[in-house]
Amino acid sequence: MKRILLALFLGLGLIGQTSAQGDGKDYGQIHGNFQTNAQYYLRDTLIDPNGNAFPDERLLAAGFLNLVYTKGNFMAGIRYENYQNNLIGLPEGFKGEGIPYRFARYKKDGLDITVGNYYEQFGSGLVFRTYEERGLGLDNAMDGLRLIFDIRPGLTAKALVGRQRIYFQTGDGIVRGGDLELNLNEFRDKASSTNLIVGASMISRFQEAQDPIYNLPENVASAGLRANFIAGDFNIFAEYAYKSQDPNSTNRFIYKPGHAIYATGSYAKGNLGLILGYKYYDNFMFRSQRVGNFTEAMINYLPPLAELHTYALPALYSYNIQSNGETGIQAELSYKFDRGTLLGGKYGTLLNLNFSNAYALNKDFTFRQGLDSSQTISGTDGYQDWAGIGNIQYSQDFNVEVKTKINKNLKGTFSYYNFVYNRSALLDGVIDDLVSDPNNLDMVYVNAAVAEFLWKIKPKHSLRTEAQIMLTEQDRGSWAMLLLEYSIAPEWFVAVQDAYNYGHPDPDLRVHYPIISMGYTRGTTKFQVNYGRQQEGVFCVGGICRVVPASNGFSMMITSNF
Amino acid sequence: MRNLLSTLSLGLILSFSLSAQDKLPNIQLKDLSGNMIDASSLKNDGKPIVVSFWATWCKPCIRELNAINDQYIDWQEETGVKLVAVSVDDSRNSSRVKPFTKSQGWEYEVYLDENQELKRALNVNNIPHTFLLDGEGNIVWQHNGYIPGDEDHLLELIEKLNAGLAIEE
Repeated sequence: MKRILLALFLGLGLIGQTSAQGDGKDYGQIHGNFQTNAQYYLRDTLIDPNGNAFPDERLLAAGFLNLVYTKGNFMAGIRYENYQNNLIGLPEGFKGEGIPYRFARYKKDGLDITVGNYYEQFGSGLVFRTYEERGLGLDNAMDGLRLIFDIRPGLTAKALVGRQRIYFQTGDGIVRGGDLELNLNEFRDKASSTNLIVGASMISRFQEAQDPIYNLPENVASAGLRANFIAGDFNIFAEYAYKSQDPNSTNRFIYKPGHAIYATGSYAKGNLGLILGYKYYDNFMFRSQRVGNFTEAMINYLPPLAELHTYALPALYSYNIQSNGETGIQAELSYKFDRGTLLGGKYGTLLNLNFSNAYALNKDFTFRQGLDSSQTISGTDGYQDWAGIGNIQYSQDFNVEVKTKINKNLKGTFSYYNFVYNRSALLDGVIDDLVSDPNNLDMVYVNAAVAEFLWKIKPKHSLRTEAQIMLTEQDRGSWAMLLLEYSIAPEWFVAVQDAYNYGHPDPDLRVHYPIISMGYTRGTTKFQVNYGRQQEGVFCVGGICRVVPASNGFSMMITSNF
Repeated sequence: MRNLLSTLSLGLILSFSLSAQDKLPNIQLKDLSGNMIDASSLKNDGKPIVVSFWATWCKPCIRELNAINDQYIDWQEETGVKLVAVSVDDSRNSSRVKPFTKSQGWEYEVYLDENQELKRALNVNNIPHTFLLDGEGNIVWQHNGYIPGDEDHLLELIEKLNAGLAIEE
C-alpha cells in the first residue's frame, strides 16, 4: 500500500516537473514544509539530581516533512515523520520513523471526498475534533473516509468513518459520525448583519468488549446541538452535548452519561469589546478507545475558557483542562482609549481585563466504611444526582494588560496577574477524592507582573526587553526574569534571558536559568540555536498541557517550507 | 525504508522548480459573522493582498499586525494593498477574535481557520506566517516569523510588485 502511494507521489512529482518546462498546461503544484528539532543534553545535577532529563542517547532529534500536491479540486499529501528518539518531555510513543499521514481529497458536484488521514471538527469540538499540535506531540488524525456535502447553499452535511491515529498505529475503536449545519443567511441567499447558524452532530465509537468483570458497552455515542446567533455587534454561541455511558480508564470505569455545555456571548463595538463565557463539562472526556493516557485517541475537545499566557513566568501556572469534570466562567473586557484623551495619550492606549475560574463538580467523597484508603463508593466516582459547582477550586485567573506607545520609537506592554492555582489537581494530577481532603491539597497563590518594551533603535534594528516578576509563598517560591532580544530585520535576532528562582524554599535550588539563543531567517527557512538551562515548566497549547522537565544543553531548530 | 527516503527526496528536488503560479487553495474560511468564504475567492481589484496567519495568543503575530496597522492607511493609499488576517484560534479563543480585533483597532479583513485547514494546505509550520499575493492572486513571496522592521521590508516588496518587478527571494 505504501509503495503504491509513493509511486503515485513520484508520478505526481514528475507531472509537476513537466509543467515547469512550460507547455502551458496546469499540472498542479507541490508544496511542503519541513521541521527538525535536536537537542544535545548536558548533565545538570543541580536541577535534575536523578537524571530524569538526561537521556541515554545524549542527543535526541525529531523531524517531519509534509508534502501536499494540489491541482484544481484535487489534493493529496503525505507526512514523513522521524523520531530518534523524541525529545524529553514529549510522548515517548513517537519512536522510529514512517509515513503515518497520507490522504487524497477532491471536490466535485458539491461533494468533498477525503480518503486516508484527515482532521475535522464539529461545532466547538465538544462532540468531535481531531487535530494536531506538533509542539505538544499531539496528533489525533483520523484514518478513514470523510464526505462533506453541500446539499444547497447554507446547508452542509458531513459524514465520516475511520479509526484514529495513536503514534504509529491506529486505535482499537471504530469511529463514525456526522454533522449537519444550517446557515440561515446563506440558505435564504440574503446578506444581513443578523444571522442564525444552527448545527447538530453525532459521533459513535465501537470497540469490542471482553472484560471478565464489567459488562462494558461496545457502542458509545455522543451527540450535540448548537446555535450561533449574530445580531450586529452581538454574537451568542451555545452548544450542548450528551454522551451515553462510557466506562473508561479516565473516569475509572463508571456507568454514567456525560453532559457538556459551552456558551459564549460577545459584544464588540467601536473601541469596546466584551466577552462572557460559561463551561460545564461533566464526565465528558471522549476517547476512541477505552484505555488511553494523556492525549492519546481523544476524539473531542473541551474548550478551557481560560486565557492562555505566553510570558514565561505566568505561563508556569497555565490552566489545564480537567478531564472528569469542571465548571467555570470567563469574562473579558477590552477597551481602546483614543489618542488625544487623558488615558489615551498621544498614540492611544489599549486596556484588557480578564477573569476566569474553574471548579470541580459537586461530588460526595464520603469514604467507604471500613476502608482507611480514600476510596469512594465503587463505581460512582462520588456522583450524586446532579453535579453542580463543587467546593474544590481548580483555578482563578485575573489579569490586566495595558499596551501603549510611549513615543515614535518606543512601545510598552504592562501586565499584572493574580492566580489561584490548584497544583495538586492541575499539575500533579491528584484525583478529586484525595484533593477533597485539605491535607492533600496544594494551593498556590501567585502575583506576577511583566513589563515589556519594544524600542526601534533605527530602521531594521530593534531591541525588545521583558522584565518579569512572580511572587508566591508556595510551590517553588518567587521568580524574577529578564530578557533582552536584539533584532536586525529581516534576518537576525539574538536573545539572552535569565530566570532566577530566588525564592525557592530549598536554598540549594535558588538557581539561575540562563539561556542564550540566536536565530537566522532566510526567505522561508528559519534556523535557531539555543544554549542554556531550561526550568521545569508547563507547555500548553489550547488547554492541553505537558510538563516539560528541567534540562540543560544545546538545542537547534530548523523550519522551512516551499 | 531507504527507498522511501530517496523517493521523498526525489519528490522534493523535483518540486523545487515549481512555485511560479501558486494561488490560495479552495478551502473554506469563516468570516466574523459566521459565513463561509472560499480562500481562493479572495480578491482586491487587481492589487496585492497580504495574507497573515495569526492567533490571539501569539505575541509576535500581534506585534506584527499592530506594526502594520500603524501604517496601514498609508499603505492602502500608496499601494492599494489589502491585508487579510487569518486567525488559527481554535474554539477556545475563536469567540474572542472579533472583540479582540475591534479593541486593537485593526481595519483588516479577518477570517477564522478554526481547524487549521488552510494553514495545513499552505504548509504553514508556525505562526506568524505571511504571504504576499500579486494582483492576480499568485503567491509571490512568503515569510515565517516576525522581527520588528519586517513590515518595512514587506512594504518594499509590495511597491516592487506594483512597479511590475519580479520578486526573487
